[in-house]
Amino acid sequence: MSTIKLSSLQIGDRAVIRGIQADETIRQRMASMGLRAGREACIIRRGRLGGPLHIRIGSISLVVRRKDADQVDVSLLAHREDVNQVDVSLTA
Amino acid sequence: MKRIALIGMPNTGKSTLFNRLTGASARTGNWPGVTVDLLAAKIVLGPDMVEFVDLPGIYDLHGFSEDEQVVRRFLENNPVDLVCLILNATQLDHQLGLAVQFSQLGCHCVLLLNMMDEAEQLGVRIDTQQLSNALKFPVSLVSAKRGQGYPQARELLTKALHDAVPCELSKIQSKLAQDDVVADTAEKLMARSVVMPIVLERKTTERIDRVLLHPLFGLPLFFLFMYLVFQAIYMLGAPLQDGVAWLLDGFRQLALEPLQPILPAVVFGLLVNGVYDGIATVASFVPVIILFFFMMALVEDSGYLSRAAYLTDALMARLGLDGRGFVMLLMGFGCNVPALMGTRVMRSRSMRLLNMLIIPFSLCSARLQVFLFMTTALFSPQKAPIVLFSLYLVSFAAAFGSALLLRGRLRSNEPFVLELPPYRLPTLFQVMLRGWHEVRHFLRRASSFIITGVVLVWILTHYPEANPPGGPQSLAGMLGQWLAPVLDPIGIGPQMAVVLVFGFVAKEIVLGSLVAMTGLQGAALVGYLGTNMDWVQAYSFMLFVLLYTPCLSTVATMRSESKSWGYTAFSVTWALGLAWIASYAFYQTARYLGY
Ligand SMILES: Nc1nc2c(ncn2[C@@H]2O[C@H](COP(=O)(O)OP(=O)(O)OP(=O)(O)O)[C@@H](O)[C@H]2O)c(=O)[nH]1
Ligand SMILES: [Mg+2]
Repeated sequence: MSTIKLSSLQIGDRAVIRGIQADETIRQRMASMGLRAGREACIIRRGRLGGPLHIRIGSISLVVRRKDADQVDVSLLAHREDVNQVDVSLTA
Repeated sequence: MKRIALIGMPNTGKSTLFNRLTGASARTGNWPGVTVDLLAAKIVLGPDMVEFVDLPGIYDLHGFSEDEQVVRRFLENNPVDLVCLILNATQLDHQLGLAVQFSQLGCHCVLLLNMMDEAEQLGVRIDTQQLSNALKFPVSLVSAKRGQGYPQARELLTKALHDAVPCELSKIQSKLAQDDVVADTAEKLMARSVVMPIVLERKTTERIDRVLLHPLFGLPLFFLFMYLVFQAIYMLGAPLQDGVAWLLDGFRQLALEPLQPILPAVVFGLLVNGVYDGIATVASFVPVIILFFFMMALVEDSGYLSRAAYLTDALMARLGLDGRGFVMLLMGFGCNVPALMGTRVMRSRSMRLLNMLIIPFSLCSARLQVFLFMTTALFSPQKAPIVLFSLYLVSFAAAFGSALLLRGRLRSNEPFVLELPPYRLPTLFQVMLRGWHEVRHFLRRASSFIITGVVLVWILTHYPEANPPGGPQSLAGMLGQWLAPVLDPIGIGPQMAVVLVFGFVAKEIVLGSLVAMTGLQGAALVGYLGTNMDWVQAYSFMLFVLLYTPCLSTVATMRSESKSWGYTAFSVTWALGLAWIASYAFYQTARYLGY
């Protein structure tokens, strides 16, 4: 599956995190806060005027600045419209 | 004595549990990073005297930020008999890894899954036996806030402590397995022992967020709320303050004035007109301050602070900071010192330094007292709240402007990732605890440097010649003459110089020393100010008080957090310079315009 950037997702999109393009300490930091490869993220809202993304990963809700979301590679699971058809077993 | 360390991720309720266990009053709040330093308290647990240590939250054991290093250093340098690990029961999918890491370190642990009340509500089911078998330490559910499961948890700690041997956790790094191995183990464990609903719905939180984080109305709503909070403090605070002033005056009339014929005039002057009246005037503001901190507690515990960070991050990014920096400014409205320490959650030193430079411009509660007094003294009841609000705007403007000017020198590439916790309501107990905390804080300040400052000002304004007090013949007057070249252009009279000099130590002294210097209080002092200053001078004075160094504790904190005298000196100079320029610009413009 092709990877895209977390920051390019639209509200309601669901995607699996594939990796973080950053140096080790930043990757470490982001992973420990929940942005870990293999996890599924869902976009809840996008801040205006370049504001941060509000995403949900499992049980937590995170705010991620767009510049940092640029470094997160994800592969799309479902757009908002076809959420209903997604098999729930995909939940990582 | 045995030692138990409370360890867990940020915002999992460690301090809440610490308070419940020890009866201490550690600060709590629905914001990751409230505790940034260690705090210890001793209690008797079973047969032993035990020292509990509340620590900052850590995301994992590799932590690099200042607050996480506090934990690492503590664990590596102090023998701990038992680690009390606290995880949020509703977020085990993210937090179980920390428990796995601890089970690898092989030290004695008890795992408490906190917030069982929320977990039950959300339908999260946890097999604690299964977890306990896999991790090889006792596991129990608890609610630190509401008390469910607390007796069992305490029992568990007592038992575990009984057969614990102190373990030294040196070289933590080397004992940890690879991160992905840890994550893998945690995930398997999770699948076996925890049942979570597929979509963990926090309906109320989501509904509130839809309004408060609205793309268009979110920010205006935030400022509207702030405005309402300050209005409420203003409206509710004034009668409370009058009440306390009345009580303190009653005491003066009944108990102190009869002493006048007995005591030598100088002693009476110093003790009653100086110290008592000075402190009483400051003390009359205590209810307002408590009210203010009740509101703060409500806001801090609600979870709105993290939302404020989300809403303002785009703006703060342009200033070289992030949303957390804005939250620290808000915390600074209470007191600048904890706000300065709160920046420890930032890993990048330059971002921390930039943030710490602007926090002193936050209009803290001590300055609020001065402004409440002066605005009511010099402005009509309709205008006073508006004048006060304008000072809050100036406070933001000074902070943002400074960041804008200095961001180029303090660049950072700190990632901004922040958790938004669910909305919560504090219990009455939590709010009261916060109020009590502030009263104690005030009493400690009052009994040390506020009294000292007021006494010194009284002496300086009454010697060698007190006609009038603070006049040209007195030491204070001479100081004023000497500073006149800088104070004249900003409309501050020579008798105020001494007040400003001592205001450097603490802003409460400004108020107390006005009383001590003039020998007037209450309505008489208001009248005195009204005849000695016009509104332009008063506003210029307030601008100066708002912007120049908040207090000695702030400077000391600045120094200890930055570990640099040069930085501290720069910060003080910057604030002083800005204060003078702002007052000068205002005063001269207003005069030029004919006011
Ligand atoms: N519903 C619920 N809320 C709780 C419970 N325990 C703590 N809280 C709330 O969780 C928030 C965080 O509590 P703290 O005690 O400050 O958490 P902490 O772990 O000390 O956080 P840091 O010092 O920032 O690491 C506060 O708003 C508490 O009121 C609980 O058992 N149930
Ligand atoms: Mg804490």
